[in-house]
Formats: sequence, structure tokens, C-alpha cells
Amino acid sequence: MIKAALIFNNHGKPRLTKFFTYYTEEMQQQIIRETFLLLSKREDSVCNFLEGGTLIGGSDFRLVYRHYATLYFVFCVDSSESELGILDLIQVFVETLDRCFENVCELDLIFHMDKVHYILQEIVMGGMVVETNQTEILTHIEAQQRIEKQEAGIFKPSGRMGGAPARALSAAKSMAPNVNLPKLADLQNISLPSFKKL
Amino acid sequence: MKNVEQMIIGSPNGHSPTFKKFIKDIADSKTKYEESLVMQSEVESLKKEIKTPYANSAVQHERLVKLIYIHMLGYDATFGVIDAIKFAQQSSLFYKRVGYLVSSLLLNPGREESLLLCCSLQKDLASDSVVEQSMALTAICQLMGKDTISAFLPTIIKKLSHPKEIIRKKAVDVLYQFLCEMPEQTHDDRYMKALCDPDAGVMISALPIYLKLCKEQPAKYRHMNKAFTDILIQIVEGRLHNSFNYHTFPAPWAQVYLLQIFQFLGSNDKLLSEEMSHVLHLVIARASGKMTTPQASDAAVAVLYQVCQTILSIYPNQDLILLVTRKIDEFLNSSSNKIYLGLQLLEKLCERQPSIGGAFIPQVYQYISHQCTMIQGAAIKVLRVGVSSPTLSDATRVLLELLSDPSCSKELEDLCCTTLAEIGRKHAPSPAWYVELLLKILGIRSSTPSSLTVTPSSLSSPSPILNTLINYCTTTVDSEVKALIQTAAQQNDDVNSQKSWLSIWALGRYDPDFERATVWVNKLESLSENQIKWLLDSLVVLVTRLGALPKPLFSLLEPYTNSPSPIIRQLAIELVNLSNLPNVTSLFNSQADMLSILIEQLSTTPDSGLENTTAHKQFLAKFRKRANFPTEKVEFHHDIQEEGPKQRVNVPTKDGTPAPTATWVSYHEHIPEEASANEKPEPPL
Repeated sequence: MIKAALIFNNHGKPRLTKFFTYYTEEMQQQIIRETFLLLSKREDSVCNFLEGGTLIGGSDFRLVYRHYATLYFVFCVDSSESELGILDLIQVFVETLDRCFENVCELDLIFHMDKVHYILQEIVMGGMVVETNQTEILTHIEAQQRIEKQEAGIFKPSGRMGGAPARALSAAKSMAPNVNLPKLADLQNISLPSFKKL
Repeated sequence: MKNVEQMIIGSPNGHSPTFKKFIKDIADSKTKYEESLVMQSEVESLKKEIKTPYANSAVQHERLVKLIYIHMLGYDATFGVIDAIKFAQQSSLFYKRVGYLVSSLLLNPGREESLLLCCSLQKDLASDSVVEQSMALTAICQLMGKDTISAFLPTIIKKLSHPKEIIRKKAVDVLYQFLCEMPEQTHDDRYMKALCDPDAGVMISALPIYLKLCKEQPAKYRHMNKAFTDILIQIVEGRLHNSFNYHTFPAPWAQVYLLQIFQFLGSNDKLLSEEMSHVLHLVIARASGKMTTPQASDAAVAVLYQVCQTILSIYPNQDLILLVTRKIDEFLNSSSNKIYLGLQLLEKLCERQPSIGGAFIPQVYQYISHQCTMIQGAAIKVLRVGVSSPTLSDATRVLLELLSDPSCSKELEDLCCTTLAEIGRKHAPSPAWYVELLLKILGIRSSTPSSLTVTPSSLSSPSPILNTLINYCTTTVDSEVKALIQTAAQQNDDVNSQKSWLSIWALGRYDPDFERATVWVNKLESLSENQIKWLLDSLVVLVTRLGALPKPLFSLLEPYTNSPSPIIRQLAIELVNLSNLPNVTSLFNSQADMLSILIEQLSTTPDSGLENTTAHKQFLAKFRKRANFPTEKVEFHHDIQEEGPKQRVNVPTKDGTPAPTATWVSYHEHIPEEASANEKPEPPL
């Protein structure tokens, strides 16, 4: 089972933290710090697995990570998960982000943390891998985006919450899954140095 | 770091100025303190804003995203929980999604607020919209605990027949969560329905459930072996839709799950192991074909690794094991990730097939000095199980080299020491060889900088190796061992070294006179508290062997009877009393067994200290009567007991240090056999 998915940058600033098992808030912060300390000492040439810190549960747990230009993507997993499988899952996650944000960089994560969470939700659910196919993941994300856009058209920004005509809304929702819209139009790309992969 | 100005200019227009400012302020803060100021002011204003009616949907949305930020950076965002829940209850999907997201980050199944979401979750599950249903299923995974699960269960089970595969798949995942929360929920029909789903994606998501079930009760799921074999054959032969392929490799994650299931089904089961051997052959052939290509995905190698693990776990099949050994060789000659996995496999191989695994041992030495600590650790573990008599001397040499490397981390050092002690104990050609090895370890450890720059606390806990050595010496009667220890003890008078402990210990057990005792007693001032304890204990033993302390020593030690430390006081009083006793050696030679029985009995009485003295007195009276023990001598021990029976029995002591060990054991050593008592005292009251 996946215990946590963490993203932080080279300075240890968290960019995304998601715990699939309950830890208290203090504990979560300590785990993030401990994980960063463990990983920052490692060179890129050594292996991508590490015994978990004492806080997350010690030697029964593994930290599986990938280090891209400025970011660390870390999954804390228990012994039942295949290390290499998780390593490629991180790759799937990052590639999906890259497709969604077109040349994803640290800033995309900072400004669209909610979207990053939604993407992660489509890949990992409650600590289990739900989907590993990039196209499938994107389809689900698109379906959500589409409905949002349709809603935005219904509700003009000034509208009070919940005031939208319920029938129109549900009509929009139920037709959504069958329509095939082309591209993710509303995901802007920030033209900054691209996010190099190893 | 990127320029913050650039960040703001470059930020998409979807964000309001306040949100941009918030991000900028966080990025600008140079210290944790500055960040906390930004956060505090943001939390204050959010608390107010969040109460006011919403003006603009984007602003409302951003407030919740800010909550995620506050939470992520470790500040309390729980004030927003109720608002997040309100969002989740909206009919707008835009709000609902962020509402569920923030709730699932801030809440956990244990919190009462999560109950507030039950109603809207039920409503969303009943919705016509696929997106809404799938959102609800995701939220249930994160938010619902034991108490609320049963309320959702019927709905979730119905979802297994939903026309959309994504809903069925997520429903299966929720069922898995339920199974983890309530392991008694083993209703096979549901899981079977999921496993037999027409969509392969749903079938694959049911595999973790079966993995869990098979792990816990392999016997109950024996009949499923055929089904799993069929599934795996179909996957390997590429019958799944190519959307399940990952870098042209068919469904690697599903293959790993299936192979893990086989691992549990086949262990200790010859019949099933034979049944699955065909498919394992197939998998290993396909996967190793992939490994040789340069663009091999990690997931494909993961399958190869898992099939090797499975082969090593099931009933041994020599053909397959031979294949595994070849794969291990490939793993070991590859990149660092694969080396690590190869070592894991090798460890298992050495455990299961020591004769085959042993051949790899010389190949492992190079990884002991690898730059990756994980690989070093894995290599040491291989040696721990894989070393046998022929490889012993090389392996110990390599490990001792690592131990003397000053850059070696504390964890590795410990692992290295325990491994050396273990392989030495198992395969040493003679007791003297083993003792020599332990002495070498002690010597190296005390010369490494990490041990030299010891703080008082780390000095107070001598290594487990020392304990191993002392325990071994007390139980082994070997003249060579004795000679080795004596030489080692005499060479070492440096109070800061690990060997000094050994030296102190040995003077009580082996010294023929008070000469070295005098040397150490003269150094009393420079000894740590724990070393003083050890020294006093050793002197007690020495006195029982050689008789009363010489006068100068006696006067130096007497002040310790008023030491603030109860243990030192106790030991010092014992020492003084013993030393004052006439004919102490003869007493211990004739009655030692009686005394040790007495002490043993006392030490097994409830450890409640002085309150127990009445009980002790009664017991002693009884003991005296039955053993015809001279009153005077018993009184002496009675005194000790009153002084603090607790400390005598406390091994290890409160501060975690191993207290002087084996004092009473060593009394036994000096008893002539014919002197042992015939009568046993009654059990303590």
C-alpha cells in the first residue's frame, strides 16, 4: 500500500503532500522533513529506493523516489509494493502532469496544486493504484474539466452559490461523459524552463 | 530558485491578485519565522473572509486552495473544515470537487465532522453523473472509517454492476479499503463478481483484494490457483487490449499482483507449485526478453524481479531456480536499482538454497563498499545468511574493512557488527577464533572517530558486541579464550576505549592478584559512572575469589558507600561487607551455591523494593531453618537485601546500560562440584 505521496523541491519546500494513511498534522510535517533530509543527502547515481525513516514506520517501509530537475517525487510504500512498479508509477504521474500542463515545471505545481491533487486522485486512490494508463487518466480529468466549464457558463461569476437551475446543471452533467471534447483548453502553460527528465 | 517577479508575471490570469500575493509572500519569506508571519496574517484574514458571503466563484475557490497551502506547510487549517464540507454539499461540481478535496486533506475518519459528509456522499453516489459518483467514491476511500462503512456498503456493492467501468473499478477499490478496515468482511461473492468483470481494468483492481485474502488464508483460496494461472497466461500472451500495455509490456502491475498471489499460494504447497510452474516459465521468458532491450521499462523489470521472488518462495523447482540464478547474475551486473533488487533476491536464495547461493558470495564483496548505503546494507544482509565456513575468512575481512572506514554510518556499523558476530558464532572454527574476531571488532570500533568523540551518554552504553563477548566468555570454558581475554585486557588501560570495559570486567574473573585492580582503582576519578559500577562489580567477584581487599584499595573505595547513585552505593556496601567478612573465599567455596540460590529466589520475588522486606525476612527465616544456615552470614545478606534488593536484580539498569552481568554466574564457576547443596529452599512467598 502507498502510505504517502510527497513532492518537494531541492530546498525541502513541500509542493504537494498527500497521506493515504492517517498521521497527525505534526507527524506529517515531521515525516516530510525527515524524508527530505534522507533524500537530500543522496546523489543521483545511487539507487532510487531508501529504507523509510523511523517516523513513517522504519525498515518495513520504502521511500521510492525520482529526482527531476528541481523536484523530488517521493512515494512512501509498505513492503507489499513492488519498488520498480512504484518507480514507473511516479513516471506515469509526472508524464501525466507534463501532458496536462504542457512542459510542467515547479510553478505549475505551485499555482495549480488543486489540479495536481485531482490528477493524483485518478492514479492512486486510498493508497491503491487505480489507473496506470496515461490516456485513461487524462480522459477522466478532461471529463471533470469539461463539466466545470459548462457549469461556469451556467453560473456566471456573480451568481450566488446553489442558485443555478438544477435541471440545466444535471443535463450538463449527464451529457458530459458522451461528448468528446478535443484538448484541455483552460490549462495554461507557463513558458519557463522546461522540466527536464532524467 | 526562480524569480518571484517572473512567477507573478508568468502566472496564468486565472488567479486573483490576492492569491498571487499570497504565493509571492510565501516564496519571498527567507526564514521559517517569516513564513509563519505570512501564514498567521493569512489565516486571520481567511477566518474573517470565509464567513462573509461569496462574491465571486473564483475567489471562493481560491480560498479553499489557500487552505490546502496552509495545511501543506504545516499550519492549522481546520478552521476551514466546515466551509469545505459546505462546498462539498453544493450541487456545482466545481465547488463539490474542491470541497471534497479539502475535506479529505483536513479530515480523517476519526473526526466527527466527517459524519457531516455522509449525507452528501450518499446523494452523490445516487447521482446520474459518472463524475459525481466517482468523486464520491474517491472521497469515501479517504474519509470513511469503521463506523460509517456499513452504511455505504449496500450502495457500493450495487455499484459493482454499474454500466461504467470506471465506477465499477473505483467501487472495487472502496471494497478493498473496507476489507482493510474490517478484515472479517470476507464475502467472496462480491470479490468474485469483481474478478469476473467483463472489463479487464476492473478485474485487475480486484487482484489486490485477492492478494490480501491469499496472504492471510492461502489454504482457503487454493481452488483459485487455476483461475489466476489462466488470467496470467492471457496477460502474458498479450490478449488484453493494448491500452493496458506499458511501454509495450502487457499490464506489468497486474502481473506483479498475480505473481505475488502465487507467492503465497505456492509456499509449502508442492501441488500448486507444480501447477503454476508452467506460467512462471512463460513469465520469466517474456520478461527477461524485455530486460535485455535498452529501453526496458522499470515496470517490466519489476515483473522479472517478482517472478524470481515467487520462484524462490514456492516449493523449490530446480529448473526455475536455475533460471533465477542467471537472472540474479544479470541484476548484479546492472544499474544500482537492479543491483539492490538482485541482492534482495540473492538473500532469499541463500536462505532457501544455501548451496547455490553460496557460490555468489565472492561476487557480493564488491558491493560492501558501494557508494549507495542501501546496496551496502543489502549486501551485508546477504553475507549474514549466505556465508559458510569456506567464505568466512574473506567475508569477515571485508566486513572489518568496512567497519574501520570512518565514513561508515551508524546504522551500517551496527548491522556490520551484528552480522560479524552472527556469522562468527555460526561458522567459527574454534571458540578462540570467535573471541579474537569479537576483540577485533571492539578494537576497531574504539578507534573510529565516531567512538572517540563520544558524549558521556554514548559512553555509558557499551556496545552489544561487548555483551556478546562477555556472555560468550562466561559460558565457554576454554583456556585459549581465557588467555586471549587476559592479553587483551592487559593491553588496554585507556579509559575511553570500548576495550576498557572488557578490561574492567576481566580483572574480576581472571586476575590472579590485586595488581591490575589497583591500577584501575587509582583511575577511579577519570571513570564514568557506569564504568565505576562495572569496576565495583568486578571487585566484588575478585574479593570472593581472592579474599579481603588490600588496605589502600579499601580506603579508596569506602567513600563510595555514600555515593548518590543507589547502584554504586549498593555495590560499594556489598564490597565493603564482603571484604570485612572473615574467610570470605572459603565461604563462597562451600556455601556459594546456597547463596546463589538465595539470591536467585529473592530476585524472582515481585520487584517492589523495600515494601517487600517483611516478605523477604519471612522467606529468609524459612530459608535459614531449612538450610541450617549460620545466622550471622544470612544476616549479612539480609542487610544487602534491605539496602535495596532492587538494584541487585536490576539487569539492565534504569538508564538502559547493561548492568554488570554474570556476577552470580561467576560465583558458580568457582564452586567445587561436591560442595553443591542438596536441599532446595521453598519457593518464595
